[in-house]
Amino acid sequence: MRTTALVSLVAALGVAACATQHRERVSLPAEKNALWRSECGACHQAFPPMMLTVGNWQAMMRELEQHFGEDASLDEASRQEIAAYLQRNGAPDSYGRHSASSLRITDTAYFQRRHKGSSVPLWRRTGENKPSNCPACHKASDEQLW
Amino acid sequence: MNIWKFVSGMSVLAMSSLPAFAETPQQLLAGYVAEAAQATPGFSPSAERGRQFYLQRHAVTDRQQGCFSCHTDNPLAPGQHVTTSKSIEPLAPVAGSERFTRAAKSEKWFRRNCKEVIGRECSAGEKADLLHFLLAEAAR
Repeated sequence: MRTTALVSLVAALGVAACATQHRERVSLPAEKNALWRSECGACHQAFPPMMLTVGNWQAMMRELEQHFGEDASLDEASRQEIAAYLQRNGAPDSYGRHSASSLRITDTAYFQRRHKGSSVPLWRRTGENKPSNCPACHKASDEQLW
Repeated sequence: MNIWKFVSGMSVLAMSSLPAFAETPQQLLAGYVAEAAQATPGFSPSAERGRQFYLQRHAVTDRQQGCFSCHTDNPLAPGQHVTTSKSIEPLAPVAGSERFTRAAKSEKWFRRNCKEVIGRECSAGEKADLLHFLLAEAAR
């Protein structure tokens, strides 16, 4: 267990270092998960796990019956698999800029800073009034949205 | 002879043993019909009831007033999620479509959408009517 924890820590530090080097570019985890993609991507784009903290994701995965006003409930096996995937690939809880008490990615300091325009948020200037609709502005493929 | 009755007879046995492995919309329909018949002996699905159900303005919530809110008035047409704007494949199981080819997925979406749109779970009879309607539309 200690070895696993140590490896995780080193990996996390490595990711943090990479993120800094690349100016926190948003990317999808190297680990792929088909269930995460299909379930989270059914009603909206499957948002990159790093956009929220692990703690935020876990809170969200506990209340899927009330997912921002909609029922996104899953069978328990699927819920656990996706929760574990987000646990491994979400932002560390210490990354406050990736955390939002509302659990909305669009409310995180990171998202807000990256989308801040001179006076009006970017998505308002482009006429897109749903900031969660990434592909409305980010036309690239799912893998390279940012 | 209604085609669904033939299919129903062929697949009820399969449905009863392996309900999660229904392969075709017709088999799924047969399963819902069989389930509905347990509650209502002699139950027969109605495309017209299904059509009315699909187009009914339940208005449990403002945003998702009926099936049509996301799936449009025409189940053969692509829809759009009313909240996220994500495009939605046509609901009707036309040729080549993956609609209603997995019982577990079908049940998942009925469970979610029925609770949201009509405020409760749908009955097997309602599911049978709806699917019968969608198949009839797809066969046009």
